[in-house]
Amino acid sequence: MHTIRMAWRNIWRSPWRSAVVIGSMSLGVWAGITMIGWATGLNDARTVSMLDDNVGHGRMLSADFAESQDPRAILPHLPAIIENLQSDSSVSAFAPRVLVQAMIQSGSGAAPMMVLGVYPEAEQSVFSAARKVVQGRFLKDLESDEVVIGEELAKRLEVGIDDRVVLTFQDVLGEVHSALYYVVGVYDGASNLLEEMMLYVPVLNIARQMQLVDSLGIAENGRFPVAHELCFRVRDPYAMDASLDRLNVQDSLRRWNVSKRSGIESLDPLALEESPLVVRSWRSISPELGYADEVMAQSLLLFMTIILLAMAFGILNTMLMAILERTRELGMLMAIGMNKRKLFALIVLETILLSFAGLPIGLALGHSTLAITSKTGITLKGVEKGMAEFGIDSTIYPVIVPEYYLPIAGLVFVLAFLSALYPARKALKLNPIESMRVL
Amino acid sequence: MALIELHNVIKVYESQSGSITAVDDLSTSFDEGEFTAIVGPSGCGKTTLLNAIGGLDRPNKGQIHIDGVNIVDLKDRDLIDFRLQHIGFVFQAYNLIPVLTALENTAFILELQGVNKKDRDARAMELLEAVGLADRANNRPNQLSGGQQQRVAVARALASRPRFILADEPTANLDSKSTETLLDIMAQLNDKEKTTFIFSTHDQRVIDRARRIIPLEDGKIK
Repeated sequence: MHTIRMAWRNIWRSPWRSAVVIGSMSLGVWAGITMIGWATGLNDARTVSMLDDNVGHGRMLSADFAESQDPRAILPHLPAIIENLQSDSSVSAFAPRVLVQAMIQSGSGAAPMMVLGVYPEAEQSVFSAARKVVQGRFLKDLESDEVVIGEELAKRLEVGIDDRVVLTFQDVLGEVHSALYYVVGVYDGASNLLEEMMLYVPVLNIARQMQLVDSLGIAENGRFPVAHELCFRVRDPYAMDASLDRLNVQDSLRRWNVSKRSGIESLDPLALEESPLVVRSWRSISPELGYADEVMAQSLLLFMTIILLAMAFGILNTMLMAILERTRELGMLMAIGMNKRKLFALIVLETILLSFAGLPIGLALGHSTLAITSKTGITLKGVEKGMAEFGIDSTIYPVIVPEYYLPIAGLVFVLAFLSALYPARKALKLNPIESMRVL
Repeated sequence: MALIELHNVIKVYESQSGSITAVDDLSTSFDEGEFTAIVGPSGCGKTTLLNAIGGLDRPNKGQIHIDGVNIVDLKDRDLIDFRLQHIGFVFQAYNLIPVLTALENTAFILELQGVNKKDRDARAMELLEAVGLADRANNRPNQLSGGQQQRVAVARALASRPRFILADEPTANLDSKSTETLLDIMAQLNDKEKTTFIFSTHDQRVIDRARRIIPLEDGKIK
C-alpha cells in the first residue's frame, strides 16, 4: 500500500512537470478518441448510405441463383416467404426483384447495365435510391415500358425524360432480346458509380420480356408473383433522434448476423426444404463495406498507438528526470533494505499512474466531444461533390466509440510499462553508497 | 560470541591519483548492547568501516561476521534482505522519504518486511512516542526540524527491532539542543531495550556519551 501511496505522491513532487505530462496524455487520448469517433462516423455514414441506397440490410435468393446467376433460378416459395416476412416483427420492409444483365443504348452511346425489375412501392420502401428521383417520377405500375435511370447514366447517354432507350439482354431461353423503354425518371444515387450501373424497370414487364413468366408457368395472380431476390430491411429498435437513428441502424446490423441462420424465425422452416434459400447479410452482399469496417478499426488503433507512442517518449523522459533527481533517495531505499523487485515495482507503478492519470480526462473529453458532435454533426464545406462520389453526405455525425476505450486503456498500460523499463533499469543499477553521496 | 566480528578487513579505493586504503587490515568486534563511537578525523575511514559493517560496501579482503554469518560472502540480493532484517541505519542527512509522513516513514521498513498495517502502525506510533514525536506523526519531513527528522530516522531504524543500529555522524547537522535530545533518546533505548548502537562521529558530545570508543586513524585502530 505504501508503494502505491509513495508512487502517487512522488508524481506530485514536481506538480507542473506531472501536470504537463498528464495534460499531454489527456490531449493525446482526446485527439485519438475524437479522431476515431470522426472516422467511424464517416465510415458509418458511408455504410448506412450504401445500405439505404441500394444494398439493403439483407437479401434472400435461391441457392442456384446465388451460385450461377441463372435467370431461371427464381426465388422458390416466394408467396410463402412473403407471407412469413409480413408476420415477422424483425423485418420492417422487403422488396422482391428480378435481375438481368443488359446493354443500354441511346442515340448517343451504350453501356453495360444491371436491370432491376422492381415492384415500385416495395422498392421505394426499402431503398432510398428509388425515392430520390430528381427528374420525372419513379415507376408507377408493374407492366409499362418505362425506365428510371441514374443521373450519371443520363448524362453519359445524353437522355432525359420521355427519351427512348433500348435494353438488350438474354432471355431465359437463351435468345438475345431487345426492348424499347421510355425514360420516366432520373434518380440520384448514393454513388456515381451505381448511378451508371443500375436502372429500374417494372418487374412484370422485364419478366415477360425475358420469357420468365411464360416459360416457367408462373401465375401472375397475387401481388408478388416472381423474383430472383428479395431484399429487406430490419427494424431499428432504438429509434431516438435523427442522427442516432442512422448509427443505431448500423449498430443493430453489426450485431445481426444472418449468414446462415438468419435470425428471422419465419425463415427457419423454409430453409429446411428441398430448394434451399440463401440469406445474405449486407456484409456478405457488399463485403467491401465490412472490410472497410475492419480495416478502419485496425487503422484507428494503429493511429492511436502512434499518438500514445509519442506520449510514451515524453513519459520516459519525465521518469528519467525523476530518477536523476531522486538518486540519493533511491540509494537510501536500497540501503535500508528495499530490494530490486520492489524498487522496480515503485518506478513502474509511478510511470503507470502518471500515464493513467491523463487517461480518464482524455476519455471524458473525447466522449463529451463525440456526444455533442454526434448530435450537431460536422458539415464539411466545399467537399460535398467529392464526398457524394463515395456516397457520403457532407454532414458527418461522429460516433461515440466506447468499444475503443478499453483497448486504449490497455495500450496506455502497455506503453507506460514499456516506457518505465529504461528508467527502472537506471534506478536498479544505482549503487546505494555512491547514490547517497549525490547532493 | 560477539554480535559483530571483523577479521582483517581491508578496503581500498582506486582513483586516478592512485590507491587509497580506507580500512587497513582492521580486526575488532562488537558485543550486543554496546553504545560505541568510532571516532577520528575526516578521511580516517569511519564511514567506510560503517558501510562495510552495514553490508553497503564490500571489503577487498577480510571477513565480517554478524551473528555468525559472513556477510562478505552473501550475494547482493541476500545482502539487501540481510540489511532489512538485521540492521538499522541512521544517516547524517536524515534521508527520510519526503512524500511520507513521520508515521509512514517509521513504518516503512516494516512494510518492506511484510508486516500488516495494524501492527506496523502500532509499532511506528510506539517508537514515535519514544522519540517524543507522537504529536508530529502525520507531518511530512519538510514540516519537521532537522532534529525532529533525525529522531524520526532513529525511530525508523528501530522499527524492525534490528540486531544493531549504524549511525553515520547522526548529529553532524544538528544544533546542541537537538543533539542532546537525540543522544538522550538513543541512550535510553540502549539502556531499556539493549539496542546496540555504533556511531561514526567526530562530535565531542557524542564521544562523551559513548561507552566504548574506537579511535581510527588512516584506516587502522589507534
